[in-house]
Amino acid sequence: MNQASFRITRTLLVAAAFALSSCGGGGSGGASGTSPNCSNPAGLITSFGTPTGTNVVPLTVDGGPTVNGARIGTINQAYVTITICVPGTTTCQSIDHVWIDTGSYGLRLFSSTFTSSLPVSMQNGNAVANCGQFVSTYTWGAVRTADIKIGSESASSIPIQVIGDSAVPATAPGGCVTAMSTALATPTDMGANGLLGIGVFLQDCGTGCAMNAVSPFYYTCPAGTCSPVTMATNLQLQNVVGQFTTVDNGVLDNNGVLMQIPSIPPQGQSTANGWLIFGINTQSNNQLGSALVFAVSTLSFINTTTTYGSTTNMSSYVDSGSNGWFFNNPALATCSGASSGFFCQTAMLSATMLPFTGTSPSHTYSFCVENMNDGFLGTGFAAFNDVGGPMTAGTFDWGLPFFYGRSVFTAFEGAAIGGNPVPFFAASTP
Amino acid sequence: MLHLLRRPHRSVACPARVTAGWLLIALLAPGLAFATLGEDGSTVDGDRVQMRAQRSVSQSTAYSVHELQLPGGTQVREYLTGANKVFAVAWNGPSIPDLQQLLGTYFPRYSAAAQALGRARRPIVAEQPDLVIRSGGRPRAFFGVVYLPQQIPSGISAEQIK
Repeated sequence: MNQASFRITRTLLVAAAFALSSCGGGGSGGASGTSPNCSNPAGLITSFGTPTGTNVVPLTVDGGPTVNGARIGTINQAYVTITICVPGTTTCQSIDHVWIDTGSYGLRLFSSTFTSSLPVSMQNGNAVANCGQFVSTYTWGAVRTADIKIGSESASSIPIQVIGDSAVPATAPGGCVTAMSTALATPTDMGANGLLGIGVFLQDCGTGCAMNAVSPFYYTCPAGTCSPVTMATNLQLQNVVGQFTTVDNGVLDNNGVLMQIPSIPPQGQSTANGWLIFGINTQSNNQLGSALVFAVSTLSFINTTTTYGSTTNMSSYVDSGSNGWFFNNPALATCSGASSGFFCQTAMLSATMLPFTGTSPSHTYSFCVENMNDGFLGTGFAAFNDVGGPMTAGTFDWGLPFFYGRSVFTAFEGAAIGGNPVPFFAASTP
Repeated sequence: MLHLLRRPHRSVACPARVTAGWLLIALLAPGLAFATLGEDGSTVDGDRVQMRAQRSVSQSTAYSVHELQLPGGTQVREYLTGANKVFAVAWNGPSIPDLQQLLGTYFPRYSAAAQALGRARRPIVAEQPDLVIRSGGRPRAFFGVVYLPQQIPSGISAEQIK
């Protein structure tokens, strides 16, 4: 490190330390006992009432499904119940605790949760396999088609991933596993009975996989050896909401989603309940209103500026599937041991959300991260708005804690909404 | 998707002979394009071939950046010292590149850091005296850096590795 950059780093550290010292409960010691150091910013929405309509389903943040008589014990994972049917039939089953993920694409379920078989996608006489790649985990399984219902909205013949499916080899190929270590092979692994990927894109891969046989998305496995194959976009895993065909007051609710979860106290809450609302500006209950619209890049990033760490974070995103605030602030202490990967220091902070390109709109959101080793976190609660951890410089992950007390919209690629080019994230203020 | 690219700054003056020597290396080894973390940059062009990547090179005074465009759209950037050693690997794009290929002997430590997260969906962050790992993102939008902090040459800071 040269002198110039060393000085810059020192300056940032000093600035960050000043910011921390000015926020009351800051400091590296944190509180012992059960009182959080964090407080909520003013103006969070404490109740969304009971929205009604064909396009509304309840969501819950309750620690996850029950396995062997006990809750898995997840934190900040939001769930809905869905119904899957053998295509074109009334042979259906309900699956609870499907994880709402605005940071991925496609429905991924476990073969162990099925009571009837769905048709397998085939290519050149071989079953099609799919890999779902996440930062430190992956899912592996066959592609099958199902009719999907969520509340009163439905989609027909949707390709989904079935994890642990005997139609394809049990072991994922190296291209799926190589960068990762942990297979999400069971509901306990995932912390859910499935993953409902309803982010800004309409497929898990898109045109890239239609043009090239690239890893790690689609494979066929003749004689047990899996190789990447191309896959037309309509045969890829689909953003289920984007495929809804239910006509609701004369329109489709398939251009995006709105999540509304009331605010929770800084010490956390055992369970948080809210609403998943389909469509944006399609019904009276999903209007953007005064929410600010943040257009994303072609990779689905927005921009975030901070007064600490990296001042410009061009790889930022809003993601219900992330369970904390994740960002780069070298001045904050990080935990070791069981809480590794989270901050071990309490800090009131703020960050400014921006579109990927340009400077308008912008809004500065206040938030707090709590020392993850504070006693108050050992309560068995499922919902916290103040857990966070370090992240690569240049990035800011607005995870589920951001969603508590706000209306958060995720608009899909496709047609413009209210004059706003899509895709975008949008959120209420403050 | 080029927004993450930050071309190396010429922030430190460098003796002309160093630059000339480095350019000579590039001329003598036109296939030099890709490397494995911690290893020599001149031996591993086969890795580029394996990943079916297209490359471009940008030159600074005391280091160079070898950028690879993978067929799936992901970009990989390899940072090489003037002594032709890979001191950092960075990526961004729709999928995580083949890190076993890119990280070589450091891959088990990356893998261990990933495994330590278990089922958790969080960034991989590991900071050790000789190795820093930061890997994050979500499907269709991943990014990460892995670098050797003790081998970062003058003229570039850790935060410039992206």
